[in-house]
Amino acid sequence: MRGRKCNGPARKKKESQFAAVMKRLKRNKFAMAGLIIIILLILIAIFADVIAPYGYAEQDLKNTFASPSATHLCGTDKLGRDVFSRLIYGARESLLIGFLSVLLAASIGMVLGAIAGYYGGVLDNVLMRFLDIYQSIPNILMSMVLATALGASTQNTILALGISTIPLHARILRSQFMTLREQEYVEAAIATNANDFEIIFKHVLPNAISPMIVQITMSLGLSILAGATLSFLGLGAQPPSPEWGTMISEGRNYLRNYPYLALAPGLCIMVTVLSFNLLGDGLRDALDPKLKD
Amino acid sequence: MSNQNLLEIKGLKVSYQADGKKVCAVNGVDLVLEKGETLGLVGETGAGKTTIAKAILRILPQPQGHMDAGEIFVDGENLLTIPEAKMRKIRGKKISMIFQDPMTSLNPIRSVGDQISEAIQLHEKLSKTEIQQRAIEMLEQVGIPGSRYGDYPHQFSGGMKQRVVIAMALACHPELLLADEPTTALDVTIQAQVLDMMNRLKAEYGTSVVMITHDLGVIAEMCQQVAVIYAGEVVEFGTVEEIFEKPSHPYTKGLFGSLIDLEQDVERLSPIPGLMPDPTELPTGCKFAPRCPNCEEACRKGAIEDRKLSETHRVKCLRAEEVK
Amino acid sequence: MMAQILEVKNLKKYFQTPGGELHAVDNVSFRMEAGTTLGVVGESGCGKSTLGRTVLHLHESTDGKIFFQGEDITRVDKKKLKALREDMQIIFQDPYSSLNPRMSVSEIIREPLKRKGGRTKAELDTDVERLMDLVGLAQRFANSYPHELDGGRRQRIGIARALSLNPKFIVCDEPVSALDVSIQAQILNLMKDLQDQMGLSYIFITHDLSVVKHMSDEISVMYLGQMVEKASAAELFYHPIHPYTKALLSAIPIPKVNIERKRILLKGEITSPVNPKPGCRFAARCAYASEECKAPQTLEEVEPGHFVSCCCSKKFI
Repeated sequence: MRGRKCNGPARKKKESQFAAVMKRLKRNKFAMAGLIIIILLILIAIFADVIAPYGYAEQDLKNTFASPSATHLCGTDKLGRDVFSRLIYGARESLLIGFLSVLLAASIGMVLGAIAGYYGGVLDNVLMRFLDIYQSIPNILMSMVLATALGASTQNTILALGISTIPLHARILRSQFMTLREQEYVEAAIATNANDFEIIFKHVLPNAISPMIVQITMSLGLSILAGATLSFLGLGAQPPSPEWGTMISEGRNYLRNYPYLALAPGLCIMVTVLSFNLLGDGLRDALDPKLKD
Repeated sequence: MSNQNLLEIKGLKVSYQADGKKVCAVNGVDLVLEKGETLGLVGETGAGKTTIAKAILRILPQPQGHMDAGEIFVDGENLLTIPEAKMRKIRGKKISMIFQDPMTSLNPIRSVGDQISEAIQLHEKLSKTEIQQRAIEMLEQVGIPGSRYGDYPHQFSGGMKQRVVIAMALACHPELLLADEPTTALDVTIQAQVLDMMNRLKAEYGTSVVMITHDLGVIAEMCQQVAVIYAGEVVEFGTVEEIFEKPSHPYTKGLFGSLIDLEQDVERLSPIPGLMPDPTELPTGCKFAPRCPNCEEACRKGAIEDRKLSETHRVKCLRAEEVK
Repeated sequence: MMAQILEVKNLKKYFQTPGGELHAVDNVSFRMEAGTTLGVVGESGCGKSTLGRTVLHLHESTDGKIFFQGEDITRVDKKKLKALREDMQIIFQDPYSSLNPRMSVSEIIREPLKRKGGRTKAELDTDVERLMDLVGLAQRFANSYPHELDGGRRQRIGIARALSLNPKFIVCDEPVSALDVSIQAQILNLMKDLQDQMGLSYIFITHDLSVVKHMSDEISVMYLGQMVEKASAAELFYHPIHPYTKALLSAIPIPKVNIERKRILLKGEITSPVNPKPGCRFAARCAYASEECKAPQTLEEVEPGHFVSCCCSKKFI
């Protein structure tokens, strides 16, 4: 073991890539703010039962349209339900729609994109033309049609949003795969007998993953927004579900007298989407392995 | 200051801010260039050659780049103190620059003729037809038929694109041309054509040139004066004969030692050991000391002063006279 | 007598492009002895990299034959290819894009060995250390990532990876073109030392004529997919015959002052190798071109060991 002993300064300790990314991310204040808000939202969503002072469907018909006060932080709605508690339960609903629909879209989209990008040729052509047609239908229209056809419910909103955004993920991973499979280190791997499996999972995918993470983070925000839109239109989560879009939809009738009924969930959507976008932007820079510390 | 000097740089220091660290790119550079001559700046990647050229034109990347000290005189006027509006008139007219990569120096969606015309129009009060005339003339000067005035960059090969870039740079007959690795991206036979053309045009217009390159062959062919740049300093400055026949700085000698001599067969080359120092942590004393075979205690202490070996030849080495 | 390691006969590699058939390598033949270096020199787009990659089966050849150690390897099955690739390796030009940015230095060098199998983890560690020592990489870089290192060190990683499977033959595709001269000299010395130690055979592809002269025993000059001249390094430099070789040699900027030299300036630039016409491809730029040059040219031995593909070669000897 002569090398280890005589070679001057100690070996650099292997720094995990995650630690390196976090170190770079920490320098971006906006991204960190986004990340903290998202973590808080997730905690709120998980522990909604503990945090919320009231149940989301708990009615108090004697106390409808109460103004914000110490007992009802954001007031109550037409059925006397505590708006603050509903917002907290709404986080659970909205994040669930966002995460599950993106999970669905990304997992199918990435597989399609990877196949098309790596193997190319006829397969790529067929897949891409199919996606072209798919994408020529406006996203929101497709989710509306799907939501109508499947019936309005939270599960179906997730399905509709997931299915309609598959091409976005497929395209990004495909273009990544197409560029990366031409890299010389892939050629070097082929020259040292790597098989397709090793090339895809060791050389191509790890280098394609950063733009995918950015894309997924950004789509989370977009899906939450789209989910809220569907619910607002009455095609998504159904009352008494406290989905933020549903809440806006219910509150809009009282916009003149009780604006906070619509504004509070609107603000929640805005902050959530903004946080995902800020984090996505920050990740874009932090994930670039070529940027020095 | 002699009247003959077109360009005179005194004590130029430039640094960059990168990730909270100060990168010392240029550390006290003195240079002179006489009218009608070509000065070669030679050195390795990261030595600070391009930064010097960008400092002359005042086009350092902002906000990272910072001019820490120094004066740059062109025709006796300090470029670093004049207002930006005046500088804009000088760029492209009195001083112009050719960049290494011809592919990115041209706008892909405008015809090459238009781009040359624009360069002229910015600085000369001429009628439209006169401008066009001049642009066609410039194209023909660099060996491209005037009929290709309306062609777009993608219709030209790499060598032709670099000619267009040169035509653009020379369109206003600048007094000083800064050429940053103008032939590095080209093949040898094309490089030979372009160098030949540059020499011809230089003689015709009496342009003075600062030629930045890492290729000592190009220097030997094009330059009268040579400055060897290492870690942001001019380690040796002299006429091309002095540098090539009596190289005196150990780095200059090392550079020549690393070259392959086409007329001799040697089994092994003699490279310079080690690497250029990190510009965020430069050594005190001689910057070359860690790689120098003749380094002694004194070399590591304090700044090294230039030694004059002749009227035109100076070298930044304590032991220049001792070690032959 | 030395054993022959590689022989290529009438090798062709054509690519289908939207503009037509691109003749990247057209009818190239050569043979090389074990332990020697064949330099392949030419300008961008002359097909020199494609030639190297076709020999290695990184591209499938269109036509012609490749023999490795006397065995026909033009068409081989997967199992044979796997065995071949342990004997034939490649070193790339770009020390940036040829190393996976997500893998550490030791992972990059270890990967081919691990894939080959039959070694314990401890043996792999020892092997990686040995390879790093061999190419002059300090052990403290084992856990560094490529982007943290300079070009010279990165190129050493690429060399260590190529050597990991203990090959007999390496295609070096412009291995020093991206490096500064002083670093270039370090890498060239390393490659020569390794050749002597391990008895390697190199195909050394470059556009840099001085590098190719320093490294090669024999040099072949390529122009638009064809081999126009082939001779020993000394013969080619002191006694070039093909007009293109002459122009190429005269175009090298020589780092010496006050030397007398006559430069042959070529007209025009390299044309496209898409759908080329028969006949000499250099004729359009050649000062000596005549009617005869419109006929197809063949590589002929004009002097012992000196091959030229030019119908007018007798005039130039």
